[in-house]
Order: sequence, then C-alpha cells, then structure tokens
Amino acid sequence: MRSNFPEGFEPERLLYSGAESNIWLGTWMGRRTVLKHRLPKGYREEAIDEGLRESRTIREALSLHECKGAGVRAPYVYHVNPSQGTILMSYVEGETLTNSLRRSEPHWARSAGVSVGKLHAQGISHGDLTPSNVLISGGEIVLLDFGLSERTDDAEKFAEDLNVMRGAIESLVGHRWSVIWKEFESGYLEGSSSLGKGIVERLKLVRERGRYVRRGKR
Amino acid sequence: MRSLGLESTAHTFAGSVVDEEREVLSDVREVYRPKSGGIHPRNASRHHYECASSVISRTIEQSGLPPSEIDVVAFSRGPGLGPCLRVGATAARSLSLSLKRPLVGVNHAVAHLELSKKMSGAHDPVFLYVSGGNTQVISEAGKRYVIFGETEDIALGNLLDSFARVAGVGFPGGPAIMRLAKGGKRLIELPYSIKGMNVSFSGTLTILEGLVSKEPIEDLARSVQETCFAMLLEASERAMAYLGKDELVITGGVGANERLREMAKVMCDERRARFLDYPVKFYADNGAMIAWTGLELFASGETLQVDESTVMSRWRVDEVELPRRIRAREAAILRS
Repeated sequence: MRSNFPEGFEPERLLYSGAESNIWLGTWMGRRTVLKHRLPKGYREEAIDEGLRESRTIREALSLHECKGAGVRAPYVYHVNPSQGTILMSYVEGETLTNSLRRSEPHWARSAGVSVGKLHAQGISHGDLTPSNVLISGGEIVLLDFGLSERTDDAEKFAEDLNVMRGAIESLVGHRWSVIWKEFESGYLEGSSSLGKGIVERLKLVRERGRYVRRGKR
Repeated sequence: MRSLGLESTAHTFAGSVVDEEREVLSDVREVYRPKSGGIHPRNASRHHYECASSVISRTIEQSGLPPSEIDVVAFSRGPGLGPCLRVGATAARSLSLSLKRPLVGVNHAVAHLELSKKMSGAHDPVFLYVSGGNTQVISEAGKRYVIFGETEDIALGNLLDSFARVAGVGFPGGPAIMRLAKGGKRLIELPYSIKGMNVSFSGTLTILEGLVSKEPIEDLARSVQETCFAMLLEASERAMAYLGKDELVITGGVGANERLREMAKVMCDERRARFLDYPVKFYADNGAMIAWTGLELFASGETLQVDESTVMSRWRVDEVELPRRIRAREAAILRS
C-alpha cells in the first residue's frame, strides 16, 4: 500500500480510516502533511472503481483549490496522483463541527452556513456535506472532503447539499436540530447572497420527493 | 404466545403464524403479477380480496394449531398502497373480532428490519432496505430507526421492474435481470449517482430506455447490477463508517439477488465488518415479519382498538417510536 505514496512523504500514523479512503498524517519537505489515499474497492467492477477513484481524486484537488477563490478555507494541495488515488495536502489542526454541535454550540453552525453559502455562490457543490466534513480551526471554518464535489450552477445540487447537511444534523442531535438548522440557514443566506433564497426554497421540493413524506410537513 | 400476521402493503398478500421462539409455524403467500404494466393498486387489491380468506385459512391450517391458540392478530398498517393495505386491515379486524384476540398494527419497514435482525443474529447493524418501493440505509439511533440515506427518486426495485418491462422480460424484473446478467460480458457506462449517503436512479432508467434497442440485453442487465449495487454498497459503507457500526443486514425483495449479497460480503470483509445473511425467502414481503413484530408490540402493550385501526399509507419508518422490548439498547447516537 505504501508503495503508492508520493516520493518524499514520510507517514507518521493513520489518522482516520473512512469509507472510501485512509487519511495518513506525516511529513513532506519538512511540512506537516496529510495524505488522502482512496482505496480500491473489491466489490466494484475494476472499470467502475478505477474511474471513480481517479475522477474523484481530480475533482477533489480542483475544488480544494477553487474554493479558495470564494474565500472558503480548505487544505492546500501539494501533490496529486489520480491513478494511485492520492492527494497530499496541508494538515489542518482543529475539531469537527460534529463535536461542537454535540456540545450544543449552534453559533458554529452559523459560521459553517456562511462558508457553504460562499462555496455555492462560487459555483461549487460539495456532494457530501456532513458536520464531520466541516472543521473548526483557529476560530475559522475549514471545509474538507471534496471528492463528490461538482462545478455547477444547478440549484438542485446546492439544495441536495443542504438536504444532506440537514439530515445529518437531525440524526446527530435529534429534536434540537431545528434550532441548529435555523443558525445554519441564516449563515447560508448571508454567505450565498442573492443565490441563497432560491436554494432554500428548492430544498423544500427535494425533501418532498423523499418516500412517504407528508407534503408540506417537512 | 403465538401471533398471526397479515401482510398486504403491495403485490403480496401473505399470512404467517409465529411463536415466541421465532419459529415460523406457517408461511403462506400469494403474489399479484400484472399481465402487463406495473402494479395498479386497484387490481392488486382485487387480487388480495380474492385470495384473502384462502390465505388466512391455509395460514391457520399449516400452523397445526386450533384458531383458539392464536393470542394476537397483527397486520401491516403502512406504508404502502392504500387499497391493498385496507384489504389486510379489514381481514385482520374481522379475525380479531371473531377470535376475540387483540389487534396490533405494524409498520411494514420496521417489520422488515426486525425480522432480518433477529434471523441474521445481528445486534446493532446498518440495514440496507431495498425493494420495489423502498431504497433506504437505516440504523437504530436513540429510540427509533433513523434513515441515513435513501433514494432521492425511485426505488432500485422499481428501476429493475421498469427496465425489465421495457426489455420485455416480465415482472418481477429482479430474477430475470439476475439470470440475464450472468450472460453479460461488456460493462456499459451508466450513471453512478451518489450524494453523501443518498442515491438516485431515475436518470439510469431514462438512459436504459434509450439503450434497450441498441445494446445486448445481457450486457445491460450486468451493467445495471454492477453499477447500481455498487452505489448501494458505497452508501451502506459510508453509513457504517459514519456510525462506527460493523454489521450489515440487507432486507427487501432486491436482497434476493445473489450478486448484491456477494458484493455486500466483499465490502464487509474488506473493512473487517460482518455481512449477516439469513434464509433468502424472508428478504421479500412475508407474513412472518408482521407476525413477529406484532408479537413484540403486543408484549409491549401496543394494541389497537378496531375503530382506531385505520391504515397509514405514508407512515415513515422514522416516525415509529420503538418500544423498549424492540430497542437494542439506549444507544448513544454516535459512538465515535
């Protein structure tokens, strides 16, 4: 596995093993770095698997770069190898929004909303927008994990981001979700400027398409 | 204690008697198969009316018990097709009144999850519930089952049935597609549409409809299985990683597909988790799951009066507060 790592990267330890990738902490050119390695999945046909890992690696590296144009913080990209499925990036110290929401700190939901709003206004949908992909670092929001992101101006994609975030918050904090969501939404409307209102409206349509949802109730 | 359960949410009218040791004493099913097109609720409910009394008498007969030894009557109260649900509910009400036994209304999805959990021996799994009408990634959190991911448009079973129909291979589509896929060679690129833990299949159907006259049906069958099943397992794996859970259980009719279960095993093995299988005939809609869950609800005191037993065709799984008897434990929502 380590033979796939970029030259000069010295892994220190496995930080996290997720559903699709391993995240290694280490050093590269004297810097603290993180290596994200997308693992091959044996259950997928090789052609599907290779295509997905490669395209997600490229898309992630591009979005990590492009979101900075919108003033959204994200790790810096140092090295990309699409065929191996690796991205070498700067290490960001911080804690996840998941942890902060569990401690009932809704103001961070607002800040996260602002960042997501800016990202959308820049024409990037995230694709896997959960509280565990939002980091709080030095009093600022840092977005992570852009593997399913897209360059788009489709309101539907942005509304889906909000839908995933809303669902994740609800499953995380139960009945307290509505307070937190209000914070997130107000931040989002601020960050996304003129775009936001239409997306929040669109979110209602996305939710109503779910199975057995009572129309107008959710 | 013994429970008689009636299932009638969609195409299947089924009855079963189950005892407290979860022994299935009888299992009778009649499946409505439309001659053309999909399931029309009115025609399906007519089928159910016509076979209801025969299914019920065979269910009791096969159990080897006199009707007086049945302690509770359970029925599938929703979600599902209204006209179909009402047949099961009406039959269950009259059975409850004539046997003088309490009536219990069961959520169809909860019943799928409960029976598959018990039969597979799982403790606190992530469930992939995939059938003609449902595609959801579910797990227990707090006092209820929570949907972590689901289809944003049509169910996978619905896609397979619709594809089978345009390809002219009959209903239900799943088994025919599984057979055809074995002869498939080339992999045709189809949409791989996953957002977080949600999936989408409607675009795939549109593209398949266009390809059906151009590509060999075997190749299309193989491609739709490989692509769509991979999406489901990616969503399931995300839920397992997110929740820190290491068991996967599949339920619903599409789970009868061998390739899906084979892929599930590979996914679980690779992450040192366990894919827990159980007899394949209990993946699809059946009466035993209603009877078994009905027994649990009855033991928790959740009976219904006849006049409050209306069906609930849009009763989502996450609206059900699970009684203590069903809950695995007062689980912390996230363990990580």
